[in-house]
Amino acid sequence: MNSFKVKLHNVFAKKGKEKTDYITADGQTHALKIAIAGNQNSGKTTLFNALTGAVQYIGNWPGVTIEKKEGKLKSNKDVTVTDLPGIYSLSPYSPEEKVSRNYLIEEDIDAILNIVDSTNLERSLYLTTQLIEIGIPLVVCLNLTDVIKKQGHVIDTQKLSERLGVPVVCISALKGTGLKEAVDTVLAEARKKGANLFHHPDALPTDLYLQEHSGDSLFLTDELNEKVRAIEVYLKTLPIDYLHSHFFAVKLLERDGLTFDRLNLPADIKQKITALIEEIEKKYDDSGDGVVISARYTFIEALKKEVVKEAPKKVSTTEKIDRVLTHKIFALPIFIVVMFAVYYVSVTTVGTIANDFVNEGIFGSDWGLPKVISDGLTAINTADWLQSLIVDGIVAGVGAVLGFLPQMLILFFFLAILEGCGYMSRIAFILDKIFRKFGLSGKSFIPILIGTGCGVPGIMASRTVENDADRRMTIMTTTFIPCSAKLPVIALFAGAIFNNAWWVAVSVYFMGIAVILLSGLLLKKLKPFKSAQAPYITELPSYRFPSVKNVALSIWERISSFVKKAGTIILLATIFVWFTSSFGVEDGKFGMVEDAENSMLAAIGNVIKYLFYPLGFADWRSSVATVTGLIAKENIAGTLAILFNFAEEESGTWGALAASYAPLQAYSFLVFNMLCAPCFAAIGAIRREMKSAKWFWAAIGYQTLTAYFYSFVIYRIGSVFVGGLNGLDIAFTVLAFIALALYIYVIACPPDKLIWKKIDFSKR
Amino acid sequence: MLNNFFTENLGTIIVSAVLIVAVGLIIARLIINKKKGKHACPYCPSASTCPACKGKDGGKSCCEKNEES
Ligand SMILES: Nc1nc2c(ncn2[C@@H]2O[C@H](COP(=O)(O)OP(=O)(O)OP(=O)(O)O)[C@@H](O)[C@H]2O)c(=O)[nH]1
Ligand SMILES: [Mg+2]
Repeated sequence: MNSFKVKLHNVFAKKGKEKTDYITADGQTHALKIAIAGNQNSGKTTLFNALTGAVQYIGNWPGVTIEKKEGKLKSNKDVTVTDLPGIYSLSPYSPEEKVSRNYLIEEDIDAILNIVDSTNLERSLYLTTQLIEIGIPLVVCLNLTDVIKKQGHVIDTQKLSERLGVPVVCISALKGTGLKEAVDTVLAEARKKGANLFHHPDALPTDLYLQEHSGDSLFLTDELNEKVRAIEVYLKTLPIDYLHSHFFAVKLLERDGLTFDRLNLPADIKQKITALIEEIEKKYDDSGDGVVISARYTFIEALKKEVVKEAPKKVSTTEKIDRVLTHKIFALPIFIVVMFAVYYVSVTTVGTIANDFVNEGIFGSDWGLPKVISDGLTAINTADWLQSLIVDGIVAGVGAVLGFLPQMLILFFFLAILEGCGYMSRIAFILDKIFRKFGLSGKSFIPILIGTGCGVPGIMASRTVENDADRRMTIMTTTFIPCSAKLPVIALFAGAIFNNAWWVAVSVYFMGIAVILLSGLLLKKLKPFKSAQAPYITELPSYRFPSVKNVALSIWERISSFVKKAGTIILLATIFVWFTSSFGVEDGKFGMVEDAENSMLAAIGNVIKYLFYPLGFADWRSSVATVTGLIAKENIAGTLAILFNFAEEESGTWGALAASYAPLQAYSFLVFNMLCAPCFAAIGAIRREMKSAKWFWAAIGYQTLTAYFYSFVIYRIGSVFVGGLNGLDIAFTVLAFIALALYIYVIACPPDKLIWKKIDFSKR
Repeated sequence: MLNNFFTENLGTIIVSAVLIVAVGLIIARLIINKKKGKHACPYCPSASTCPACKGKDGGKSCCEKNEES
C-alpha cells in the first residue's frame, strides 16, 4: 500500500505527466470519475463509445440506454466514464430517470459532462440549469454541431459559457470532432474539485471553493433566490453533504417528493420550509414547481435569444419526409407496407432461395454436412449409435436452426436500418395514438419494437414506461411480438407446410400486434391496470443515414450470439432430445429403440399431448417440441428436426414433418408457440422486472392462457371450414364459439356495464 | 483381448471422448456465465445488444439490484 502511494507521488512529481488521481485527506488515491448526462437521444452513448472504445448500443430514438454503463477513458485508463440513461429533468418520472438522478447525487463523481443537443437548446438547457445546481464541476458539451452548421445556425459559446458560469465546448460525437478538447476541459474541472475537497498539493483553500460553488442560482429570480437561501440555511443545520445543499434547497422549493423523502427533515424544519414555499405559491398563484419551472424557462429563453443566431428557416429534409411518413392517413398503411416488406423479404423470398441452398444443400442429405460427417464416421468405424447421435441428433437439430441464418441476417439488417435511420421512433409516434385508444401507453411500443429482436431487452425497456400499471401491462404483452428466435420456427413451418406462402410470417407478426392491442382492451377492464394515461412526450429525431459501422455492428452482434446459442444451449438440447427419443423399453428390454414411439420421450409426450388435443396438435412430438421451446424457441425447430428425422434421405428433409401436419394444425401450433410463455431467458427477465412473484405468475399465466385461447379458437372454428367434424370435435367447436363470443363481449362492453357487475352477490 | 477391443472401437472411443469434452466445456461455460450473473444471457440471441448483458459487471447492475429491491 505504502509503495503504491510513493509511486503515485512520483507520478505527480514527474513534470508534464498528466495528473489523473488526487490524494484524499486520509491518504487514499482517488481515481477520477466523470458522468455523462443529458437528454434522451442527444448522443451520450455515441460520445461514451468514442471516449471509451466501448460498443454500447446506439439507436436513433429516445430511451435507448436504460442502465448506467461504466468504461475507462481510452486516452487515460485511470479515468472512469459513466454513460447514463437520458433525462429531461432532475425530478424524475420513470425508473431509469431515477437511475440517473440517484447516480448524480449519491455517487462520488468528480465532474459532469453535460451533453446538450444543440438542435434543441431550450429543452437541453432546462436540464443543464438543474445539473449546475448540484454543485459538481460541469462542462457543457454542445453536441450535433455538425447538424447546426449544416442548418446555418451560429451559437456564441463564449457568451453561453459566461452566462451559465461553466465551460462550454463544441463537439460532434458522431464525427469525432472536439472530443479531445472536451476531455481536457472536463478533466481540468474534475481536478479542481479534487484539489479543493481533498487537499491535494495543488489545493486552494476550501472556503474559496465553497465561495465559488454556493450562492445564488443564476436561473432564478432574486426573490426565489432569497427563499432558496433561507431554505439552505435550515439545511446547513442538518448533517447533509454541503456540496448538494443548494440543489436540495431548490428541489424542496419545487416540492420534489424524492427530496423530502431523502432528507427526512425534522418536523419543525419541515414546517418552516413549507411555510416559505406556501408564501411563494400564494404570491405567484402557482405550485412551487410551476414557479421554478417558469423561472428557468424565462432565463433560458432570454439566454437563447442572446447566444443563438438563427439562419432563416427552411423546411428541413426531415420535415419533408415526415409529411409523408407520419401523414394522418398514409402513416399506418406505410407502416404496414414497411413491416410487410421486412418480413416478406427476410422470411419468404430469401427463404426460398437461401433455404434451398442451406437446408437442402449444406444441411441436406445429398452432399451436405450430414453425408460428409456420416461418411467420415463410417470410415473410422464408429458405432451406429454414435453416428446416429451425431448425424440424426446434433447435426440435424443444430442444422435445422442454423439453416435459418440467412433469414436472420436479412431480418437483422432491416431492423438495424430501421433503428438507425429514425423510422422506429415514427412507428412509435404513429402507433401511440392507436395504442392509446386500446388503453396502452404509447411508450409501450418501444419495448415491443426492441422485442422484435429479443424479448429480454424488450422487457427491460419497459422501464421507460412511467406508471406501474402500464409498465406491468407492457411486460405482460411485449413477448407476443415474434422475436428473432421464433423466426426459425415460422420459417420452418412456412417452408415445410405452407410452401413458403407470403402470408405466413406476415400474419404471425400482425397477429402479435393485434393480440397486444386486444390485451390492452381486456386488461384495462381489470382494476390493477386502471390508470391515468400518461402523455407520451417524445420528440421525433431527425432522419439520419444509419452509419455502416453501427449497422454492421448490430448485425454482427446479433448473429454471433445466435450462433453461440446454437452451439451451446441448443446443441445440449439436441443431445438430450436424441437420447430420450432413441432409448426406451422395447420388447420388455431397456435399450435403443427401433421405433421412436417406444422411447422415453414418447412416453412423456404421450401424456402431455392431451393438453394440446383441443388445439389440434395432439401428437407427442409437437407437445415435446413445445416444451423444449421453453428453453429457447429455436429448440422447437431443432426438436422437430430430430423427431421428424430431417437427416432421413427417403422422405426429403421436411417430408415427414409436412406429412404429419394439416395446414390448420400447423398454424394452430405456430400460434400457440408464438404467444405462449416465452423462453426461460425472457421468463427470467419478466421475473426481475415485475419484482413480485404474484405479478410474475400473473404474466406467465396470462400469456399461456392467451396462447391457448387463440390457438383453440383458430383451430376449432377453422375446422368448421375444413369439415369432417364429429363427436368430441363438435363439442369443442361449440365451446370455441362460446369462448369467442364471451371474449368479444368482454372487450366490447364498457367495464361497469358487464353483466356480472350488475349481479349483487351479497344478496345471495 | 482388451487390446482388440480398443483397436476395434478406436473410432467410437475417440469420437465419444471428443463429444464428452465438448459437452463438458459447454456446460462449464454456461455455469461460469451464470456465476458471473449473466443469468439468461447465454441463451439470448441479442445478448450483446441487450443492456443486461453488456458492461463489465456482467449485467449485475440491473439483474441483482432489481432482485434486492
Ligand atoms: N449528426 C450527428 N448525429 C449524432 C451525433 N451524436 C449522436 N448522433 C446520433 O444521434 C442518435 C442518438 O445517439 P445516442 O448516442 O444513442 O443517444 P443517447 O443520448 O445515448 O440516447 P439515450 O440512450 O436514448 O438517452 C444516433 O442516431 C446517433 O448516431 C452528432 O454529433 N452528429
Ligand atoms: Mg444512450
